[in-house]
Amino acid sequence: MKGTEKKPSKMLVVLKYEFKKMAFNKVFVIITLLGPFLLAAVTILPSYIAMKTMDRSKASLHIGIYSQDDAVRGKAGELIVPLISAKGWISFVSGDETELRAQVLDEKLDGYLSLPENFPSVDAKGNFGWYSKSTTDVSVFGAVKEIVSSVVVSARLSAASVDESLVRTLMAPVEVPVYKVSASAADDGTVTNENDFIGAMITALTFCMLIYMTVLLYGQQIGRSVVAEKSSKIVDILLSSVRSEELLYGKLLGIGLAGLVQYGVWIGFAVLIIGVVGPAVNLQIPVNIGMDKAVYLVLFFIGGYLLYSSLYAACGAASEDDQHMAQLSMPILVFLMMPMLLLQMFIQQPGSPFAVVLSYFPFTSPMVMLIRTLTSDIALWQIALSLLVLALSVAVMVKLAAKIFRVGILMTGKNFTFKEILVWLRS
Amino acid sequence: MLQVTNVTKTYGEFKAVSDLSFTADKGKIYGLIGPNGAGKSTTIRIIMNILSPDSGLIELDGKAFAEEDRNRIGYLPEERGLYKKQKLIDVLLYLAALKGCPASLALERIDYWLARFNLIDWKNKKIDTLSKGMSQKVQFISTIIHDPEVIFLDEPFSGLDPVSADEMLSIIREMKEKGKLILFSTHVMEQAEKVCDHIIMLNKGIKILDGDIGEIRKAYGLNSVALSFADAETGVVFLESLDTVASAYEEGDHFIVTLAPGSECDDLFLSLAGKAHVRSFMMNEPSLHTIFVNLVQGKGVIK
Repeated sequence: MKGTEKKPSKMLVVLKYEFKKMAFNKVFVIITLLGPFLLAAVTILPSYIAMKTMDRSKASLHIGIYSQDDAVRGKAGELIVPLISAKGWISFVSGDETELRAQVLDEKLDGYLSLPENFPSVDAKGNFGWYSKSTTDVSVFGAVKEIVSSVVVSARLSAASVDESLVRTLMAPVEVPVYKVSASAADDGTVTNENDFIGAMITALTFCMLIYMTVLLYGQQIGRSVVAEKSSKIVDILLSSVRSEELLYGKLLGIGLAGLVQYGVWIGFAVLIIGVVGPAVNLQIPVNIGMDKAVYLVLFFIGGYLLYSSLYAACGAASEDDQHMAQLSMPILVFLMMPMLLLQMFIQQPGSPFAVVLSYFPFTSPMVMLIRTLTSDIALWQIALSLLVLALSVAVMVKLAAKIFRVGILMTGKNFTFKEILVWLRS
Repeated sequence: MLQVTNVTKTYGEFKAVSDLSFTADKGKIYGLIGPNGAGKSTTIRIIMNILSPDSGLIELDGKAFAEEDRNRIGYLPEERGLYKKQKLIDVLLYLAALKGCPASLALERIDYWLARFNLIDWKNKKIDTLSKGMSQKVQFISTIIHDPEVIFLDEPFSGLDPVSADEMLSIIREMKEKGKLILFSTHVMEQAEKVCDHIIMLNKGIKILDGDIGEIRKAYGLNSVALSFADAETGVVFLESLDTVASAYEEGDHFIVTLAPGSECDDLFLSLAGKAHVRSFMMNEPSLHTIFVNLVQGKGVIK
């Protein structure tokens, strides 16, 4: 059939043009290239910083111990210095505070500890002091505090004639390892720790940001391009060449394809960082994106993109200017923003009824279901069901949008209200 | 051949086009004329399948208008606009591709037409750097870039300077010589008189006149003659004494004569012979504007 051969080719012409227009757009290129750096900023940087600070408490630090009192200095040399040495740090006792201050400022010392006169038999909080250039270096300060506390507690125990070793045995804390329960036996028993939670959170945050940003960006791009074609009247020429459906589908698919290329670049970059660069510089990355998660990301992006962009196209067709389009699309935007605003809640309680319902509701499912798959173990059928609902909604929405588009795009000179648009749908 | 049969289109209560029928042949220029809101643009949109009519039929060469016929039509819409941020060449290639014209052929033709309109230097410039007249020419190029058989021009001369308008007119006539069917709509009737071979006049969505421009003039213009005499003493009194004259009046240096019922120009000319020194004798053809006004003011619809 000659007729059926011709139809897709016209749509392809539109698709190709819209793809090129989008892909060679400056903003698009910048976002595509900057995206990985943005990703790096929210994923690698925190773990890198955490690693650096951890390293610092492990590195060989130089600690000074100060007291005016000779007897206290003797006690410090006897009780504190060996414990500090046990950590691999170097320490010395001094009575010259001015010299210690100078050394801290010269960075020869990482800090010095000032002891009270009655050390170690201190009651209440005592009169200690930790002097350092960085007052936020919690790991070093914490270690010093722990050492001093243990020395003081020992002194108190022996003063009360209590057997210290007995107390320590009785007070020994227990370990409670955390195990993740997964449907697939292979994953079962994976010990998760705080880092894994942070990892899941960062991944969820990143994925949501990506979906939100791209769907919003491309959706508005389509809406604006429809308004522009309408107001520049080029739409008459286009419609004398192609059917309105071909024009709409070509637009949706062309810009969507550009979006997929962008996602391809990003995922490629992520794989490179996690698989190659990360291990090479011995960086522990808390983001664990399995291939399955990347596939979900792309699938939910496609669904979310098609759903929202067809809506935006319909809004654009009913508008004379960008402002009215923004107004019409306001109610849509609420659903797109909601998962972002409630992100923390969804991450902490991925199984709450609210989260479950929204993970099937097509306007929120792309983001909410993604969060749930990242933070808890979701059965495959649930993900499939969510995608199916999304796909069906897309099919309905695209049909409705095509109808609104066909009528609206020729109606120039007026901004239309929801009521009027509903009339178009009935006709 | 383009055949429009009983096409009707209503928007709610408003009848934009009402039971419109006409045929148009290749190698001729058709003028679709009428005041603003007469249904011209709606008619063109229906013929091009942008709008679907409530009822009626559009046929091209005896077959109902089909999808692939879109490629055989070129369309210059009334309100011009192109992708402002895009390069001229990209826009023309896109619009050509949409009409099924392969890129290699389109490139060749773009070069030809840009050269002809002195726009070759702007080939790689963005549309928004062109002047209004220039982008209008670019738009005209986009209308004919795929070498269509049927060309619709909606107010093609509006906003063009006289030189550019003449340039475009000569190209339109060239297209006619090549056997294209040209349908152009305008509300400026003087323009239609100058350009068209055939007139289809619309008012409030109803066809009130359809005919060859010569025939229309014959039908509406033969009852009036403008003449002048070499001698001053011959005047209204003399003219009104003739059997062939119903009435006469002086207008500047000549006289306007309304012929008596049943008389034609030739009869008047014969009756003047030997009685007066005729300096000029011209059939006083009413303008399309006058015809339109007469038709609307109660002379009724002529099928």
